Amino acid sequence: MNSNIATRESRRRTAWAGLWIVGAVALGGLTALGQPLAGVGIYTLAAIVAVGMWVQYSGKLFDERDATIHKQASGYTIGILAIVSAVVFPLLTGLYGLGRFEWGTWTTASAFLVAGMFAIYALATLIISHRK
Amino acid sequence: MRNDLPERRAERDLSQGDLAEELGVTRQTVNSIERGRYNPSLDLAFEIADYFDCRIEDIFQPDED
Repeated sequence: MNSNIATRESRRRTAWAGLWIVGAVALGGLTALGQPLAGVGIYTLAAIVAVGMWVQYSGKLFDERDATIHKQASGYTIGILAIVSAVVFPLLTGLYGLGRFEWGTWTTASAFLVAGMFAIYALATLIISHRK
Repeated sequence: MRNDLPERRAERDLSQGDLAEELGVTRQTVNSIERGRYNPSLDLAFEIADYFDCRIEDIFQPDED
Protein backbone atom coordinates (compact mmCIF):
# COMPACT_ATOMS: atom_id res chain seq x y z
CA MET A 1 0.00 0.00 0.00
CA ASN A 2 2.77 2.37 1.02
CA SER A 3 4.91 2.26 -2.09
CA ASN A 4 1.81 1.87 -4.26
CA ILE A 5 0.61 5.36 -3.36
CA ALA A 6 4.04 6.81 -4.06
CA THR A 7 4.44 4.98 -7.37
CA ARG A 8 0.92 5.80 -8.52
CA GLU A 9 1.32 9.48 -7.69
CA SER A 10 4.78 9.68 -9.23
CA ARG A 11 3.66 7.95 -12.44
CA ARG A 12 0.62 10.16 -12.80
CA ARG A 13 2.61 13.34 -12.24
CA THR A 14 5.19 12.24 -14.82
CA ALA A 15 2.44 11.26 -17.25
CA TRP A 16 0.73 14.65 -16.72
CA ALA A 17 3.89 16.56 -17.57
CA GLY A 18 4.78 14.18 -20.41
CA LEU A 19 1.39 14.49 -22.07
CA TRP A 20 1.50 18.29 -22.08
CA ILE A 21 5.06 18.26 -23.44
CA VAL A 22 4.17 15.76 -26.18
CA GLY A 23 1.07 17.80 -27.06
CA ALA A 24 2.96 21.08 -27.21
CA VAL A 25 5.86 19.63 -29.22
CA ALA A 26 3.43 17.97 -31.63
CA LEU A 27 1.51 21.22 -32.06
CA GLY A 28 4.62 23.29 -32.75
CA GLY A 29 6.56 20.64 -34.65
CA LEU A 30 3.80 19.42 -36.94
CA THR A 31 2.68 22.98 -37.64
CA ALA A 32 6.24 23.83 -38.66
CA LEU A 33 6.23 20.73 -40.89
CA GLY A 34 3.06 21.87 -42.60
CA GLN A 35 0.68 19.52 -40.75
CA PRO A 36 -1.20 21.92 -38.47
CA LEU A 37 -4.36 19.81 -38.17
CA ALA A 38 -2.39 16.74 -37.11
CA GLY A 39 -0.64 18.95 -34.55
CA VAL A 40 -3.91 20.26 -33.16
CA GLY A 41 -5.33 16.73 -33.12
CA ILE A 42 -2.44 15.29 -31.10
CA TYR A 43 -2.40 18.30 -28.78
CA THR A 44 -6.14 18.01 -28.13
CA LEU A 45 -5.90 14.28 -27.54
CA ALA A 46 -2.98 14.71 -25.12
CA ALA A 47 -4.84 17.47 -23.28
CA ILE A 48 -8.02 15.37 -22.97
CA VAL A 49 -6.07 12.36 -21.67
CA ALA A 50 -4.11 14.54 -19.19
CA VAL A 51 -7.19 16.30 -17.81
CA GLY A 52 -9.16 13.03 -17.72
CA MET A 53 -6.35 11.35 -15.80
CA TRP A 54 -6.22 14.22 -13.31
CA VAL A 55 -9.98 14.26 -12.77
CA GLN A 56 -10.16 10.49 -12.42
CA TYR A 57 -7.23 10.21 -9.95
CA SER A 58 -8.53 9.49 -6.46
CA GLY A 59 -5.58 11.00 -4.59
CA LYS A 60 -4.02 14.43 -4.77
CA LEU A 61 -1.87 15.01 -7.86
CA PHE A 62 -1.01 18.62 -7.11
CA ASP A 63 -1.15 20.63 -3.89
CA GLU A 64 0.09 23.77 -2.16
CA ARG A 65 3.75 22.86 -2.69
CA ASP A 66 3.18 22.78 -6.46
CA ALA A 67 1.39 26.14 -6.23
CA THR A 68 4.38 27.57 -4.33
CA ILE A 69 6.81 26.18 -6.91
CA HIS A 70 4.79 27.69 -9.76
CA LYS A 71 4.54 31.04 -8.00
CA GLN A 72 8.31 31.13 -7.58
CA ALA A 73 8.95 29.99 -11.15
CA SER A 74 6.48 32.59 -12.47
CA GLY A 75 8.26 35.26 -10.43
CA TYR A 76 11.63 34.33 -11.93
CA THR A 77 10.17 34.17 -15.43
CA ILE A 78 8.51 37.55 -15.29
CA GLY A 79 11.58 39.04 -13.62
CA ILE A 80 13.90 37.81 -16.37
CA LEU A 81 11.44 38.91 -19.04
CA ALA A 82 11.16 42.36 -17.42
CA ILE A 83 14.94 42.82 -17.34
CA VAL A 84 15.37 41.65 -20.93
CA SER A 85 12.45 43.77 -22.17
CA ALA A 86 13.72 46.84 -20.34
CA VAL A 87 16.91 46.64 -22.41
CA VAL A 88 15.84 45.08 -25.71
CA PHE A 89 12.76 47.09 -26.66
CA PRO A 90 14.17 50.56 -25.89
CA LEU A 91 17.33 49.54 -27.78
CA LEU A 92 15.32 48.42 -30.82
CA THR A 93 13.24 51.62 -30.64
CA GLY A 94 16.43 53.68 -30.49
CA LEU A 95 17.87 51.84 -33.49
CA TYR A 96 14.56 52.36 -35.31
CA GLY A 97 14.81 56.08 -34.58
CA LEU A 98 18.29 56.09 -36.06
CA GLY A 99 17.04 54.26 -39.13
CA ARG A 100 19.10 51.16 -38.39
CA PHE A 101 16.24 48.83 -37.55
CA GLU A 102 12.84 48.07 -39.05
CA TRP A 103 10.00 46.68 -36.97
CA GLY A 104 9.02 43.43 -38.68
CA THR A 105 6.02 41.19 -38.07
CA TRP A 106 7.68 39.07 -35.41
CA THR A 107 9.38 41.86 -33.47
CA THR A 108 6.18 43.94 -33.49
CA ALA A 109 4.11 40.97 -32.36
CA SER A 110 6.64 40.20 -29.61
CA ALA A 111 6.58 43.81 -28.41
CA PHE A 112 2.79 43.85 -28.24
CA LEU A 113 2.72 40.45 -26.55
CA VAL A 114 5.19 41.55 -23.88
CA ALA A 115 3.39 44.87 -23.39
CA GLY A 116 0.06 43.06 -23.09
CA MET A 117 1.50 40.58 -20.63
CA PHE A 118 2.86 43.31 -18.38
CA ALA A 119 -0.45 45.16 -18.59
CA ILE A 120 -2.17 42.01 -17.31
CA TYR A 121 0.52 41.64 -14.64
CA ALA A 122 0.05 45.24 -13.50
CA LEU A 123 -3.71 44.80 -13.39
CA ALA A 124 -3.43 41.53 -11.45
CA THR A 125 -0.99 43.13 -8.99
CA LEU A 126 -3.40 46.03 -8.47
CA ILE A 127 -6.39 43.75 -7.86
CA ILE A 128 -4.49 41.37 -5.54
CA SER A 129 -2.89 44.18 -3.51
CA HIS A 130 -6.30 45.83 -3.17
CA ARG A 131 -7.70 42.59 -1.70
CA LYS A 132 -4.87 42.02 0.80
CA MET B 1 12.45 24.81 9.84
CA ARG B 2 13.18 21.57 11.68
CA ASN B 3 10.51 19.01 12.42
CA ASP B 4 10.04 15.59 13.94
CA LEU B 5 7.52 14.40 11.40
CA PRO B 6 9.49 11.24 10.43
CA GLU B 7 9.55 10.12 14.08
CA ARG B 8 5.86 10.83 14.61
CA ARG B 9 5.04 9.04 11.37
CA ALA B 10 7.15 6.05 12.39
CA GLU B 11 5.39 5.88 15.77
CA ARG B 12 2.12 5.37 13.93
CA ASP B 13 3.68 3.09 11.32
CA LEU B 14 2.68 5.37 8.49
CA SER B 15 4.44 5.76 5.17
CA GLN B 16 4.83 9.18 3.57
CA GLY B 17 2.14 8.15 1.13
CA ASP B 18 -0.24 7.17 3.91
CA LEU B 19 0.26 10.47 5.72
CA ALA B 20 -0.10 12.39 2.46
CA GLU B 21 -3.40 10.67 1.82
CA GLU B 22 -4.60 11.50 5.34
CA LEU B 23 -3.63 15.15 4.93
CA GLY B 24 -4.86 15.49 1.36
CA VAL B 25 -1.48 16.44 -0.08
CA THR B 26 1.02 14.68 -2.32
CA ARG B 27 3.67 12.30 -1.03
CA GLN B 28 6.31 14.65 -2.41
CA THR B 29 5.03 17.40 -0.14
CA VAL B 30 5.34 15.21 2.95
CA ASN B 31 8.82 14.21 1.80
CA SER B 32 9.87 17.84 1.25
CA ILE B 33 8.51 18.93 4.63
CA GLU B 34 10.37 16.14 6.41
CA ARG B 35 13.61 17.07 4.67
CA GLY B 36 13.14 20.72 5.61
CA ARG B 37 12.98 21.78 1.98
CA TYR B 38 9.43 23.04 2.11
CA ASN B 39 7.65 24.92 4.87
CA PRO B 40 3.96 24.05 4.91
CA SER B 41 1.30 26.73 4.86
CA LEU B 42 -0.30 27.61 8.19
CA ASP B 43 -3.41 25.71 7.14
CA LEU B 44 -1.43 22.56 6.44
CA ALA B 45 0.67 22.98 9.60
CA PHE B 46 -2.55 23.16 11.63
CA GLU B 47 -3.83 20.09 9.83
CA ILE B 48 -0.64 18.17 10.60
CA ALA B 49 -0.74 19.22 14.25
CA ASP B 50 -4.39 18.29 14.44
CA TYR B 51 -3.68 14.89 12.92
CA PHE B 52 -0.96 14.16 15.48
CA ASP B 53 -3.06 15.71 18.22
CA CYS B 54 -0.50 18.27 19.30
CA ARG B 55 0.45 21.91 18.75
CA ILE B 56 2.28 23.17 15.66
CA GLU B 57 5.34 24.13 17.72
CA ASP B 58 5.55 20.57 19.08
CA ILE B 59 6.29 19.39 15.54
CA PHE B 60 7.97 22.38 13.93
CA GLN B 61 10.85 24.31 15.43
CA PRO B 62 12.67 27.24 13.83
CA ASP B 63 16.26 26.67 12.75
CA GLU B 64 18.76 27.90 15.28
CA ASP B 65 21.03 29.75 12.82
